[in-house]
Amino acid sequence: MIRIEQEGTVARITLQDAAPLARGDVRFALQLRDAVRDTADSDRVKAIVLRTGSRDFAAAASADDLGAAARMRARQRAQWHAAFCAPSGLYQNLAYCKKTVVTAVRGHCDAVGSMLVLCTDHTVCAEDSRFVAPFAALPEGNFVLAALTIRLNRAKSWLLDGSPWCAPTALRAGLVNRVVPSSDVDAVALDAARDAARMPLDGVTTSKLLLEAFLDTQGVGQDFDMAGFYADSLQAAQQAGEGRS
Amino acid sequence: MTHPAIRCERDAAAHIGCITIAAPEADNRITIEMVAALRDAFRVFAADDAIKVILLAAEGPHLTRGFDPAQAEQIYKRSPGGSVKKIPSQRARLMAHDALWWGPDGLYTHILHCPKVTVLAVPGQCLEVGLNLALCCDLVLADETARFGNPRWRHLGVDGDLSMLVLAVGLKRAKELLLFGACWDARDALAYGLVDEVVAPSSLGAAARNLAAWCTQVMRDGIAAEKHVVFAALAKMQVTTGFATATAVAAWASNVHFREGEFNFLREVRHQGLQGALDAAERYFSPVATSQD
Repeated sequence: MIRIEQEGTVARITLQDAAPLARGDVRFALQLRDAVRDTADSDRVKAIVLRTGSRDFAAAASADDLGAAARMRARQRAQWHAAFCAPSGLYQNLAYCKKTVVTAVRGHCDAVGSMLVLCTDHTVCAEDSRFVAPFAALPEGNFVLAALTIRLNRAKSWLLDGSPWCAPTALRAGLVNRVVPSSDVDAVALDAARDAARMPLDGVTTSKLLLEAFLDTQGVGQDFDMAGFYADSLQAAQQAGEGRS
Repeated sequence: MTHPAIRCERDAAAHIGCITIAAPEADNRITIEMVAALRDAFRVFAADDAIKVILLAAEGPHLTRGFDPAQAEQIYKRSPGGSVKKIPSQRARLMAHDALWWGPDGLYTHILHCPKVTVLAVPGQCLEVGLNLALCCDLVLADETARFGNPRWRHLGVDGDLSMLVLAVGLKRAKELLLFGACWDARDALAYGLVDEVVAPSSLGAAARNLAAWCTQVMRDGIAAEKHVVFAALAKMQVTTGFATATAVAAWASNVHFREGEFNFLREVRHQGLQGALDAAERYFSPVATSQD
């Protein structure tokens, strides 16, 4: 399900589909975590492209998917937290990755896809991309990261409005960096990664560690720590029939 | 300290202190001596009760292309331990970055914590030092030819403080400059929030003067009070913390080990001279260049 290729100092991680993340699939989250971590640990890699092989970067989650995720969080809270939210989990491994990470997005980008976008350094998306805010459906949705990326007022709008953002809106907000025709997404993302890989390896790592220190001062890690509490709130809201999802 | 390329004009009647970077023949590249003169100019105007607004401008087509690369090695040699060996000591690197830029008496600290309103007028290239000046000043006017970025980060990785940049333009936009070597034109800089207004090149001087004059309408106590509210906010938003670590990071970044095939600017300077190294950097980092791998 996860393929890793390397060309020079750029690695490409391809998922067939990000949907397992929406179902709270711990095994898949850990496989993707391992792919990111092991690739970033390689001294031969300076930049990583993260893409999916499907028409959509993250297809819309069904009610069954969201139900499965809620049951997973309720029954296996510790495993879920370790796989998704903890410092050793998927999202923090991406957000604090030691190498530069570029996401290539086509089509629908559901909540889990938007989390991957928020956690990466640079995003190239297709003109038909649509981005769903991750906060209502995902307890691990990191609002601090969103506020730092798109600014507080826009993050609140994305959260509260509930409508997916089209590509031009995402570009104006600063959620994505480039909007290109769908057929060009992979090539433009790869070029961006090659561009980032011209920096010395020491420089890449130093820069990413400096960014990590900044994110820590701003509370990004603390917001991930709160995911368990957000999961409880979400569960209570869903039981009361008030959850958006 | 004064310097012929840092010109100061005090207009007490208008309450404006104007500082002009005036080395157009060198694209206003900033030398060690100019840093000291700039810092002292800000210090003098900051202590002058007749001055409410400090306007920082440039003579020539560019604000600055950044620090003078001819002094890239000298920067450490004047600090203790800097000239003892071929490779400057770590304490020399730390002291140099602290004294020049990020420390309590550094240029950026003086501007960021200036109790007067600071206005920057940007023509043409606003690179490296220029980018930090834009981030530290309160208000930034740019003309349509302005370009913002820090090409040096591509050579060594990111150094200095990055909190101001991220807080100004957002995380992913900031990373375009930090990790991808982007250079924004005036329109992009305006859209992202790095500058406040873009004007035609012919009207930059007048527009900056008008903005400075507009700001002088605020009473002195009001300006001081508002600026101190900003200082408190900067501390709460961890920008002050960012400055505290910037010196260590900048010194750390100066120790980069280059692997085979990576571009080492100082090695190129030694092999083919300054201009040759600048040309080689241009070629290496050109968007049309293929991967070095």
